[in-house]
Amino acid sequence: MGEHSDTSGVLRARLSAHTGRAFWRSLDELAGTEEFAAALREEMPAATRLAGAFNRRSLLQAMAASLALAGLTGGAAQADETALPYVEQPDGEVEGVARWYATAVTLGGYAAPVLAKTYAGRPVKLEGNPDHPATGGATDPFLQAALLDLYDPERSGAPRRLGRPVAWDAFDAALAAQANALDQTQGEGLRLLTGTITSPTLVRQIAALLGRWPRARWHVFEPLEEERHGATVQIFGRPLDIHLRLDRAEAVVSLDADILGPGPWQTSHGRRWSERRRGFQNGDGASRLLVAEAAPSLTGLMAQDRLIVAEARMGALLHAIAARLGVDGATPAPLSEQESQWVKRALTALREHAGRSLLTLGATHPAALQGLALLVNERLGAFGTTLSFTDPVAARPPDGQLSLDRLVEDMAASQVSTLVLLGVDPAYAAPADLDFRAALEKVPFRLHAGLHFDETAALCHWHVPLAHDLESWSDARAPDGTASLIQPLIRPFRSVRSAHSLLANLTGSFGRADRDLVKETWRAQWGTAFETRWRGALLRGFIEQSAPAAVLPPVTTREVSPLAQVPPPEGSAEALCVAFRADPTIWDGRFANNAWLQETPKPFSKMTWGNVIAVSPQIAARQGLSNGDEVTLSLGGRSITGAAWVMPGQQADTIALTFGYGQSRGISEGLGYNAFALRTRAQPWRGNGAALAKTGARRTLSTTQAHQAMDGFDFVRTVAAADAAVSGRTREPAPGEPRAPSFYPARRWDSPSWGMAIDLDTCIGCNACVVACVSENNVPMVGQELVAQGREMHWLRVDHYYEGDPAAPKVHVQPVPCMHCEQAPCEMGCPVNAAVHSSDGLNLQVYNRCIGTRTCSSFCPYKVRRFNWFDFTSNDPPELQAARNPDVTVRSRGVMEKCTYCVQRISEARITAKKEGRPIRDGEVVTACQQACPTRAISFGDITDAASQVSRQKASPRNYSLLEEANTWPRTTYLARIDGGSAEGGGSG
Amino acid sequence: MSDFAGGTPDRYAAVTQEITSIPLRFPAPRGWWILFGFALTLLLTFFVAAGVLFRYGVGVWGNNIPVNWGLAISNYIWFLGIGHAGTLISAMLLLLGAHWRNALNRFAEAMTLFAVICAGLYPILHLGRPWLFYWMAPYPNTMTVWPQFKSPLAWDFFAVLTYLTVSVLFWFIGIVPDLAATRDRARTRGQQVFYGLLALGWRGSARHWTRWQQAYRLTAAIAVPLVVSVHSEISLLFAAGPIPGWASTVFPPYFVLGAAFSGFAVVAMIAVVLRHALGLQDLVRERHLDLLGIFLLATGLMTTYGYWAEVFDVLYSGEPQELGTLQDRISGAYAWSYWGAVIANFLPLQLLWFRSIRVSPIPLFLIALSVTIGMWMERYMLLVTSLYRDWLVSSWGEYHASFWEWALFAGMIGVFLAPFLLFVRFLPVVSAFEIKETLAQEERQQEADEREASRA
Repeated sequence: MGEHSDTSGVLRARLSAHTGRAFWRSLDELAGTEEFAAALREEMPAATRLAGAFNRRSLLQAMAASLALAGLTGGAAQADETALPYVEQPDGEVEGVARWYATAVTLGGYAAPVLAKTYAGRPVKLEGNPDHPATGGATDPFLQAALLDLYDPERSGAPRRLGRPVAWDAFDAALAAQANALDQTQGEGLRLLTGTITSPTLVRQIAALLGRWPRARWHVFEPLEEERHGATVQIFGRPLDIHLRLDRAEAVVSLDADILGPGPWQTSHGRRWSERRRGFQNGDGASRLLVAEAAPSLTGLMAQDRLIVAEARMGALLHAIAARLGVDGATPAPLSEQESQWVKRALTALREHAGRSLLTLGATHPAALQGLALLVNERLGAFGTTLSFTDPVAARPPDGQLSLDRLVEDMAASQVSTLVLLGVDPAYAAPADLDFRAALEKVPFRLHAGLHFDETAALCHWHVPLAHDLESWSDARAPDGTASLIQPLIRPFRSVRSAHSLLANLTGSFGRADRDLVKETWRAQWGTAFETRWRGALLRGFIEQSAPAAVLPPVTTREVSPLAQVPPPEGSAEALCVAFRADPTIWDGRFANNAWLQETPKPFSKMTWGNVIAVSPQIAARQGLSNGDEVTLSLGGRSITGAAWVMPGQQADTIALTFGYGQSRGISEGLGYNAFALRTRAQPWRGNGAALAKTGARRTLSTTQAHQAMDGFDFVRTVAAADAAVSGRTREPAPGEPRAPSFYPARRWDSPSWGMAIDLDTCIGCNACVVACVSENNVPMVGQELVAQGREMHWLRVDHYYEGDPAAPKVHVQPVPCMHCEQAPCEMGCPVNAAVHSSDGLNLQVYNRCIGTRTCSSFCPYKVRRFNWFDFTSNDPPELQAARNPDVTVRSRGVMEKCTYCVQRISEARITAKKEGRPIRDGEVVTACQQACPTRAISFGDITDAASQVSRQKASPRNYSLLEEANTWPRTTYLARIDGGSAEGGGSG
Repeated sequence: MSDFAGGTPDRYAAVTQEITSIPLRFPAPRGWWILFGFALTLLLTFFVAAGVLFRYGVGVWGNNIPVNWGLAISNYIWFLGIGHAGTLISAMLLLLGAHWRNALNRFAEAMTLFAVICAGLYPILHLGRPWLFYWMAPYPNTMTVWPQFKSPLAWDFFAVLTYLTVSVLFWFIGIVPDLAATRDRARTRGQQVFYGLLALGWRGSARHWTRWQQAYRLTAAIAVPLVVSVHSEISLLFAAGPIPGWASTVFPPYFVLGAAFSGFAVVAMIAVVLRHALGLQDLVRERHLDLLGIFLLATGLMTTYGYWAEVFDVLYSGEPQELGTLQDRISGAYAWSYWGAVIANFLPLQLLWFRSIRVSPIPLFLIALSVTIGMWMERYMLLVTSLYRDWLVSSWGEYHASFWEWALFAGMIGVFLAPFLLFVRFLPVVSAFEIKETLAQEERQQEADEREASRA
């Protein structure tokens, strides 16, 4: 086999591509893959004949060749520099005992700090880092679901040339050749396109690259990011990040700013807003939120006063507020009666709490308006109190924050010879009027690096699989600027490279460990005591005091550009406005392959596995649309087709679209429409003059909640602000104490006895708890068709209700886990003792006792039980099996399952407490949903202990049981929403 | 057959001859084979549908959360209801001494038997893990777990099993003397062995008859309370849950009467068909059709009362959830099942006030068919309209039976029809000796009357 020595290395590389825990079982399984066939074609044309025809003989021949060439012994990947053979148990490693690591995952370039739970070297759960100054442990659905991205079976796992897998050697050689060529021209024609970057190491590396090749240029493309610094450049003369200190703001007026909605800011905003809200609940100051918006958002949902108004009217509203506050240059435009009333109330709130109020305008509005909003805040005395400024957290490339269009111009003019795309997918997400694909064709060397072989990768010469955050060394900054170190929790089990390695490779440096690259960055900053600080930062998960200091430069100009005249909205069908939004669960499409997020019901529509064209009730009435009608939406000569959804509370002429769907790969293929196809450079966030036409077809909507009207029931209760403080209005009966008469005797409950309280006044409906529950409890995903049939498996759901006029309804959200009823109808119904009550007050389901009569679910008034209609688990690919929490049983076909109050966590705490000979402390058991909640709306603990946090919550006069009339004595109770945001009940309009 | 005092042996012999000749020389072989072929096709459908179900799980059906129970459970109740008439006619009327039952009891019992088998299969098939169904039985096991005795399902399991056992015993005890008669008339060796084995060595001695009378009446006495208990128990499957629409106290009698109603309807249909196909007009006489019609009317009117009582309960309670369910029944997505039940069960029924309708086979058959369908709709309505919109608006959802559910339903009719046709073909469909007993009594009565008349 000597003549094949050159190819043997390649095959060895193929085999060694799968490192870490071997997720292929045998060589023949590997040899049977398409990738193997492709590699064989590439490297051993002679063998292609053998592998091409898959009869038994030829397959065996090919396999024999591969075995001989690969040489089973010599194929090991280069060992990680810290790898230890597992001959003896490493110190501190105990089988079955979890280890926690502090690290971070990223969303849109910003760090989301996490504590990651690992078992035997594989991460199984991500939680928020409670010590982090910005988030304080808050999480969002993206953070919770990042784990599944790590294990995504469809993640790219090998470098490819022209779409075909090749060995790393070939890639390295090609890259070295390209680097040599670039050296000749000082990097002329080299362009680097990245997403938003906050990683100091990456910034350093890019700076080094630009230093080596001064003619190279770096561009940033972040589909859902906006040029955020126009206003501060205008007002302060320098770019600054604006940080909302919602924890200090007693009155917030939001003009189309979804401050509590999905995005990198959600966790810190949610945490801070809820701190203020709790202060208000406890009688300390006010917490008022007034929102003007066109399409419903989570911020609007929490607002006490929501004005439904077209997005184009935000300028008029802002100018009106500014003018009344006496900001020079503001031009009060005529307002409608409704608008001026709202402005009046907003002004009252802002003035009443001057110095503790703020006004925020959506980042998608023009810089001129942003500047005026800043001046309004200056007038309110918000600078330095409710608003703080820092130097930009994200790196600013020389060409501006977003410069894809400039790059595409150059590409089209054939001025780009080498294009390196780092973790971006512009072929999918670029604006429709920017013909990115055509321009890309003109670049002679195109290198794409990403987690997936995506649409851009398919158009590139080279594709390099990037490492996931959870398997790489890196660093990144949270939105507040605090830097986190990202450390790997698992050795990559695919053959991937980090962005750091790739950039190092590009500049001719091979074989440097990523950790050293990151260390180098911080060594330069810290100088002395490096190792101590490094270890400390790794343990904490972030670097203390690393956020840029708050600055407050003097205002350089107070010039206000006059209000662009916007015609008042008309009622004609031709005047439809389109508003683009990030998708609340798959963002800009980067999470499209994440089943946890795909199956998370989107707020409001409760849609899963797809997006809808949300139309206002008025448009629906005009055009005779109902949910599920297929419609074609045309805007500027382009059109998309999707399912219509009648969205109560949406502005009369507004159609809301979300990005992220309409992809052509992975599990997302064929789902929804691609809103990027309607987006233009000039109008990236909204478009006027859209036309909507019914096609006549119907689409099945996989929603999890078909009915959303509260129908006069009081599932979600609201109390007046004045009543909320009156104590003793209603009292939660003590555990076991009879409420209404029951046929069954009341039980005595010994300590501990578990209960939960959910504060509906602070729940923002973000879904973090839903995804956290999925991750913690191995909840299976069932897919679009089964969700449409009502068979989703979520143990915890978030119900949405509308109250009142569909054109301007009150919206409520209500997380519904199992109620753990003391008089549980399910337990009474089960014939085989599978639904039982534990001595500590849990309503438990014994999976291996369950025979699947489904009586428990039929009898459950809350319908929180979920049934395994099929075998949802045993065919999971090994990667997904690795993502499971080993503390929680994986359920088989035909059994009922439900929320357990995370009984595995209770057991763990009990065992620990027993070993230490003490009772379980309050706060020692934190359920997954509770931990995930960005607003700390969920409390959990021992309800026999009057001092426990949950008991104190339940003692609130706002406490009530859902469906009290069913007389089930639930252990999960709710705290009613407070109508209003100040003690006087002000703010409600 | 012993001779009856003062009787005309020829008439008795003719009765026996007429009944036992059916299995020995079947009168309508062509029609039977066509029907049996049809039944076998359905039976095959059953095995395919059950195979698919076992292979993939209950997910192949249309059930979901909130409608956990669908066609399987409504059909279970329907089949079990049908199974009520046999026992009611045989056992209760036997004990009450209503001798006219003797023309109907045998095939009514057979119908009961096969309907109960169908009913019993359904809850097992609908389980998530059907292979573990025996966990509902209280048996000593290494898990040291008993069934959960508060659950109506555990009691359902006992009730159906008991009912099936007693029905088999009652039916078989009743048929033994006729099997012996058939054996005695059998010409071929095969028939002699077949009927001989089944006849258990019956020789018709006085001691045999004494024991038989004791056993038969005792089993009847056991069976009668079961008629009430089984369907009361099933109503608890609903009434025990806190679901709006299931909470009426009228449920147990309402279910039992509904069961008897549907059962009489099916008995009437079978009586009309058998009477015609096997030429039994002189045994199953107009009088029997008349009485069946009266029973149908009576139980039907009692079921109507149940409907009213249910509505009254809701209106009287004024509970918003209950009112909502009532509204869903009347005008919701499944209003067809409510109005279908009301119309099919009660409108055609009113014709039975007229004797001329009651005694004419075709109208009676059609009315009974309408009731059978109406009662099916009622079971479906009670189940689905309560579950699809229960307490929380957020968990409402609709249910649509899938292809495999309908296939299983069709197959289940095969499970009923195939053995019933075998029974019709190979066993005495009418109780010969009991008819002769009735005949003898009538004759004795006649003689006594004549004596009275002559003395006067």
